[in-house]
Amino acid sequence: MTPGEIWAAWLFALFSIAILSYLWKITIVYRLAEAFSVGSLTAHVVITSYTGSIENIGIIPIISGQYVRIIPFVLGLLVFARFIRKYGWLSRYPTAILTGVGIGVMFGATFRAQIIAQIGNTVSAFHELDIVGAILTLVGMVTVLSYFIYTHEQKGPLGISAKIGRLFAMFSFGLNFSAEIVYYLTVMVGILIILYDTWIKGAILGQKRRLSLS
Amino acid sequence: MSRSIFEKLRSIPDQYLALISILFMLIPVIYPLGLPLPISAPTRGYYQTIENLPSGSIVVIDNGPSIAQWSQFESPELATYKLLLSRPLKWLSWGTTTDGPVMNDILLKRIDPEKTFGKVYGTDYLILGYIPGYETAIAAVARDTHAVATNDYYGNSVTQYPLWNEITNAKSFALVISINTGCTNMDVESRQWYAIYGLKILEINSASCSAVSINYFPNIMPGGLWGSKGGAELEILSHFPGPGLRLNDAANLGLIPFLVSLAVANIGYLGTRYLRKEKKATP
Repeated sequence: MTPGEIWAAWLFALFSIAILSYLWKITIVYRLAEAFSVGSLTAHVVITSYTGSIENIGIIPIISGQYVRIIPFVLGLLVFARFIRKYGWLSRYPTAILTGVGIGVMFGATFRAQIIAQIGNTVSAFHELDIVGAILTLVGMVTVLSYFIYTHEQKGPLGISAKIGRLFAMFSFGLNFSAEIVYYLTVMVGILIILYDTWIKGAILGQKRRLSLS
Repeated sequence: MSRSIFEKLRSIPDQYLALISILFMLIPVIYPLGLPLPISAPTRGYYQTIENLPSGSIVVIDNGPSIAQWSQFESPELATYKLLLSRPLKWLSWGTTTDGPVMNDILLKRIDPEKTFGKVYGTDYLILGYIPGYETAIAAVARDTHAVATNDYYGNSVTQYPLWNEITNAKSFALVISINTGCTNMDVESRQWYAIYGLKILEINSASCSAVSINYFPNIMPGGLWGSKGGAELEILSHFPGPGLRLNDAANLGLIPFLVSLAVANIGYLGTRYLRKEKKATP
């Protein structure tokens, strides 16, 4: 490992342990690591946003003669008007345009992608010989939808359907929760692997190891 | 007043549970176990979709992982790049987050595409930088790819690359691979690529989003890799070993203390409730 990599490994280890100290209790070490993390991430986003977008999509095309791009550039600058009390109202224009464009871009395709295609997905399962899965999908969809019918009192067939729907919803929440736990465990394991491979084996014991973050 | 065994079970400090979990996770980190791993249908679909692409097809990668979730994205991304580079395919990657192209670059340096697969940057693959806007940016890339970038991620003019000249808009692409962190990611991708241009989408996302994204499988999304498990499965299928299997082993072992503590906490709760009922019933 080069001296730079050894320093990086030590920094990674110290900050990881500082953040993990949260498991014991919140200390000044944890707070320092948290502040460093927020600061460095902000710097990273500012720099990459400038080189990736402001320069790439804004400055270079304007210099090369695409003057129409001055308009979004000015709109972008107007976002900062909120920091001046007198001109704060100007920041509403870029916000309104961003919201309008966002909804416009999203709205047209939503119906096809999220409603028509999803209904197709539910029905097409019957063609794939997975009859049990297809029936479960259909029953789950219908009963969960019925759970959200509030205009009629949930009694009789609707009540039974809503109760079954609630069960399906509970299964879904359980699945989501378990996936969340696996996610956090994997993040933790990732940190342990880098600590073991890069810090302990590489930086402390001096063994030749591939850097996980190189 | 002495506490019952059930009350003691309910009040085990969190710190001990965390410590036991970490110790369990450390075992496969130090001594890889090689636990068996069945291949799931979404991973098979993911692999087959790439395998079935005609020679010379161009894949577009909407690249937006978070480096903070390195362990979730490292193995599926690495296995995907290796698979794409090993086949007669071309690909264009662009960042939906600032971290996307950074992680892409780090992983490609590790693979060394030119030396390992004989693939040339700019001819066989191209990395653009971060393009802000997420859904609006996807719509812009799909409508007129040339309008969204003048330079690549490394700051060089894109016009010098042959691959850039082969691409005009969504019609140039045969497939979309979405690498993103949000659980509503497939909603966005399906709106912009599938609903408008009919392009199928493969997804790489964190494990926590698998239950949401699976709704799009298999019609809109013929395959998906979620977290290190998905990565490990693709490593097995594609015969490109990587970090996924070790990560997956450790996550599996780390789950054991969690499941035990879940059972212990419930036994403690039910036991305490039972004892209270007994106490009330005793005259």
